[in-house]
Amino acid sequence: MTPNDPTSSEEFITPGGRVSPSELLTPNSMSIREQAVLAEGLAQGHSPAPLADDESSFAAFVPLWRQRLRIFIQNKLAVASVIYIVFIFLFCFLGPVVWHSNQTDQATALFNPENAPPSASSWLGTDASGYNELGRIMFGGEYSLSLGLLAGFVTIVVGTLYGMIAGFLGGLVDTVLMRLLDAFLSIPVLFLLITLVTVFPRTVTSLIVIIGVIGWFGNARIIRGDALLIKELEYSQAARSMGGSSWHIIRRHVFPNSVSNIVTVSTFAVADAILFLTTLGYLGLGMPLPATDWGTMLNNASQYLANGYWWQLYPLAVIFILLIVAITYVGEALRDAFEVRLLER
Amino acid sequence: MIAYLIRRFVQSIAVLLIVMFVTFVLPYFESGGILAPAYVILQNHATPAAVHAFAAQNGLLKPFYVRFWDYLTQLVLHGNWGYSWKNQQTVWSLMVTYIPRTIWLALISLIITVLIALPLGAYQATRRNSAFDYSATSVLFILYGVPAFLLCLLIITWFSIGTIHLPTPPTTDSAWLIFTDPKAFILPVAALTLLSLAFLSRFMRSAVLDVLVQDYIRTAKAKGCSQRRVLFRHAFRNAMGPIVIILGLFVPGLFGGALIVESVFNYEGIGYQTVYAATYSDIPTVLGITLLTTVLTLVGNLMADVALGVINPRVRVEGRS
Amino acid sequence: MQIKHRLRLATTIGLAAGALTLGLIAPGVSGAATPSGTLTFAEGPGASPNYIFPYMSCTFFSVSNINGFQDLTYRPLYWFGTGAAATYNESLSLATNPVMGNANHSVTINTKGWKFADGQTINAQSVMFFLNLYHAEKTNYCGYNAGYGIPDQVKSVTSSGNTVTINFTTSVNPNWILYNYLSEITPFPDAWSVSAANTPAACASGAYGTAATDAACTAVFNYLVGKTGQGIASKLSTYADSFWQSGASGPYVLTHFDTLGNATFLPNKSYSGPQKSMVASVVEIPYATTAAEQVALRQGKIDLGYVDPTNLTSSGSPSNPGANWSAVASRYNLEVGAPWSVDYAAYNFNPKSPEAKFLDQLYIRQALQMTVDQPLMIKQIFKGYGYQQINPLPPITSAAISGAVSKKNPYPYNPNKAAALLKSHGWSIATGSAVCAKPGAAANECGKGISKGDVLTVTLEYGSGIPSLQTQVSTEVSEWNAIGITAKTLAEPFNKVVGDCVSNAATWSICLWGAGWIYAPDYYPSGESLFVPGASFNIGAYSNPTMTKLVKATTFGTTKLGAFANYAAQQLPVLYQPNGTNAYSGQGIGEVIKTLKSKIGFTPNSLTNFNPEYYYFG
Repeated sequence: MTPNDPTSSEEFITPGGRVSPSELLTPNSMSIREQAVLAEGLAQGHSPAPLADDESSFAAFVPLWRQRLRIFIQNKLAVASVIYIVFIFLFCFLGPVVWHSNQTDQATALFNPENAPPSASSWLGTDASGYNELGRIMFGGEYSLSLGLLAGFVTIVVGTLYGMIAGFLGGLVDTVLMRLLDAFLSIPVLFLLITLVTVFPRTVTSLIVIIGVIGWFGNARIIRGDALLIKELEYSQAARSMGGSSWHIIRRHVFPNSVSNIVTVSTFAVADAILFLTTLGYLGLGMPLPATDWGTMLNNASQYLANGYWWQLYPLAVIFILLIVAITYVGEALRDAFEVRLLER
Repeated sequence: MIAYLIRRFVQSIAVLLIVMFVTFVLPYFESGGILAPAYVILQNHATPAAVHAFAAQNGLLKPFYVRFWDYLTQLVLHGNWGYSWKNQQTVWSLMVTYIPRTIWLALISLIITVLIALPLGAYQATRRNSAFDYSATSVLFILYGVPAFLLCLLIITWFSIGTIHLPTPPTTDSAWLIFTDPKAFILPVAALTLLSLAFLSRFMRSAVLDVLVQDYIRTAKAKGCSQRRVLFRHAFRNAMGPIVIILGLFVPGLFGGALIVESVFNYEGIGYQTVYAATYSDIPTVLGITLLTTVLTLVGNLMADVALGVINPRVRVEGRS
Repeated sequence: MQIKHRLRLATTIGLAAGALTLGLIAPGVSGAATPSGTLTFAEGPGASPNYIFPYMSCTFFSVSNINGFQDLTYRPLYWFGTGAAATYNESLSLATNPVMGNANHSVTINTKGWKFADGQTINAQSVMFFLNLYHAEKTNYCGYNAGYGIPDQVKSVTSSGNTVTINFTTSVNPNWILYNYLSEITPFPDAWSVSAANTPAACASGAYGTAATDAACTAVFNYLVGKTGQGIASKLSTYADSFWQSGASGPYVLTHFDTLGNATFLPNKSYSGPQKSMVASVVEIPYATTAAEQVALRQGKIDLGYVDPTNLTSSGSPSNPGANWSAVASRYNLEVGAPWSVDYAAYNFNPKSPEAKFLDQLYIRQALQMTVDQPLMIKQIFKGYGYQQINPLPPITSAAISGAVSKKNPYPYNPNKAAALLKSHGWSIATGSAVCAKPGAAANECGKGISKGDVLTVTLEYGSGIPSLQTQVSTEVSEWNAIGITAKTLAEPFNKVVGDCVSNAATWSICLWGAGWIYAPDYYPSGESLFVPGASFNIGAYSNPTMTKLVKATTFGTTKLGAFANYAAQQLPVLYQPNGTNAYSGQGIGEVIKTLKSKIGFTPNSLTNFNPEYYYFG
């Protein structure tokens, strides 16, 4: 399993000790493993503890958030990562305002020397089509970043809704939805991605939806696990007994408790979406014209690895890898911040 | 346990049917409908007559449910996986050729990954927030962030061309290349290992951390158990559960992950064949490979369940109400 | 006839070199020398051979199966491809020059009496075997063109000894019948005329056109090919068996083959041709991608390969190659050839396409063509390795075939003129995109079918994943946008683009899969496949009675191609694109290892043919 697998990153970030990773990963929801985890928890007297945590967190909502923020800020690497991510976003979206370069008129760009090394007029040289490489990185970044964000958003929305519906309604609905999920999870994710991308016309929208949908499998399970457990919590029961509607329960109780998971998972979903787009770029299935994306750019540049056009490959590669690293760091730091038991230590 | 396995088996069949249905229905969404593949296969020779002949020969003119039923009965009763539209072979012979090649690549890399990742993850967990933990984490994250194709190309450039001259796999359809030419496997296995390392070792670190904060570890410590003993007798053993599950889930990722490595190293395995089949709209091949991979995944899950039962006897109690 | 591919997703052999005519062959090395060395060549990216029987349906009718594989061992009756020129080569053919008779109503074939590998003489019966099989199973051979040539226009066939005479129902153009139909005949040995193992059937020996012969040939066809996956030709593991070796009429026999496309050929000891193999074996190696092939080049693993032209740092021209790719220059020489192709993007004239009403107007096609800056693209994108395409003939077509043809581009690059053309036809470009202000069919109005307020829009579907094509497409798109034509793009993998365009879907109005059309293995560059209504590759449903008349004159009359070409240059039935040698499926930019020598040079052959028997190590 490569890190490019979307089921990879979400699953090992396990916010809250209550929902053990194994439970999240179990493809068959009501499987023996889940029971094993449950059994373990019970045997170790572990299960009640998070309950108490959750109740306390519910009671002392604001201070806890502050506490978590403090933990997050204490993590210097995470703060640096946030700064880096913000910088890259500014670089890609505001950069073109400061650094003007032609990125859309190919006819004009053709008059530039192609594959030119860095110079005063083009700090990072030019690419094979004669575009200014620095401007190209910004231009491609706009697509990679916004597509990653939007696909991540789709992932979270679909995954959350799916998981909540399954977990909260339970019973037959849950069984059917989870079997469906199992089916998708058992197809290698890249196979599915490639098949979908070749079947449907490749537009910005379809790419967002396809990458987003591919990503939700793992998330749906995490959220469902949350919903399932929280539903059983006493306060949910209490709310129900007091006549609260199902929707009320989801909105007031289930959802806030899942927020920590959702926030953490989101960061990884974005990183995965960007990585997926890169893989598509390698397969020649990246952003169609006139756009470009970092995956397509990296792939094109890596074809010239032997030609010594380092300015086309290494600056972008470093920016790209650091971005993924930064997003991952932030995700991990968020998890730590939400990790109640670590608070205790 | 037996009853449970039977139930799981029935559920697996349901999952298989869903996968088959989804893969079967997808081509109908192409802009040209189910006949679109005929044009892709026949290319410039796709006259209306040729398309009709192709469609008739491959049963594309029948309604969806008839095709689905035909496929199902052929598969179940005759073990017939269909005939590749592009490859001039039965889908079965295609899979028999390529799947073992991918399995060799993925299996060796998996073993090496496990041997490195598990100790590394566990060690990092016990040295949480140490300089070592930070630097190992950084390296792993970089491996996670580097696009697979780029890593493979860099490995080839640095270690196969120029002063260091390790071979890349020769092209042959032999499944036994690993024994006849083990040296050629060094680079692709290294690439796949590096790509899988981050995931597994991060998971291990997280699983051990999870266990380390459990009450019983504190109890063990309080009892005066040595650090080493606590780690090996309690922490690692308990962390193995999630790890086994992860390994059971590895199969689909195994095939998907090898895809890029295969294509950059020109080692044709099942991953590359899938891309090829998908871009050529070779539907029987895509369908067959997807189904077989699903079966392997389900078997992997089942084996993980059984393994978990062996590791953790409590599971066999099956505390179901 | 073939679709011309671009390198990345090409389906052709790595490099092909053609034979010069016999008189020009330098007698450098004695033909009797002991063959030595292994010649290794790279198959095209993702295109490995997978069919051995040279009578195949369209599924297997590819350059990788025909030119790079079958032709090495099964020679066609007439051989084409001599160096850069695309001409017929009698010395390598199995028969002497065909003789036209009866006012071009008949053609006589005289076989030379060469031998198959099993010792049988290649005679009239070997030719009749193919013709009889074709008559019985015509729809199962991809070269079949309903209503045209062999077998549909054949009245009768007589044969005796070494002579076959084919009588036609109409007069035929000698070049057309030789280049497009006689070129596709492959003589088969009697050993293959069987309806089951060791059960002879009278397909080879039967009289042409009789029911009994047809029945025998169908039985043979069913045994050899049959339904999908049934015939023995579909068993890849048997390709190196003696059954398939027995029919070898070329310089090699296949001795090893695997499902990946690895093939090993050894010299055919019975080959009767003028040049026996000078290497001890020829090995073909499959590559998934160009990147993988380039790695093998850099490792020095192959003798004949190809390189993505974007890797070249310095420019050259088709006749005068520039510096080689620096990463392999120490080991390899660069070889460039000219393609026998027309490069274009297809227009969709199908009325169900909403944008067809724009393309129906000649002035709009002119405006589109005038904003394609071919010289600039050849210089910048193709590094000089290309030709301007102004008519449907391959730019290297000799006057012997084309007759008088204008070499001047009727619509040279001129965006101002293009914009003015739109304005003069009632389009307003005030807002940046052209909007029809004056509907109507008069000369200063937008044209039939276009309403007031219509925005001039085209949807360009193109092959993705090919950097040079991306640059080419985005150049054209930005030029069109600049003169007010709204251009939308749709990117799909190569095969999908061709599939979409061939199925004439309404999703596109301009289709650029990568390059264009290779006139091979029916080599005559007439427009019968491209511009006649109902033709096999008239994918845009182009229909113009004058064009049809001119095309027919070149196939059934004795007219040369000039009039047709000039009319097509003026009428723009397609959007002509620069014809890049580099785009030529790996054949254009070839890499040849320096230790390899050749009696015929290494210029990649225009007709995709490959003659490794002329190569030697020394």
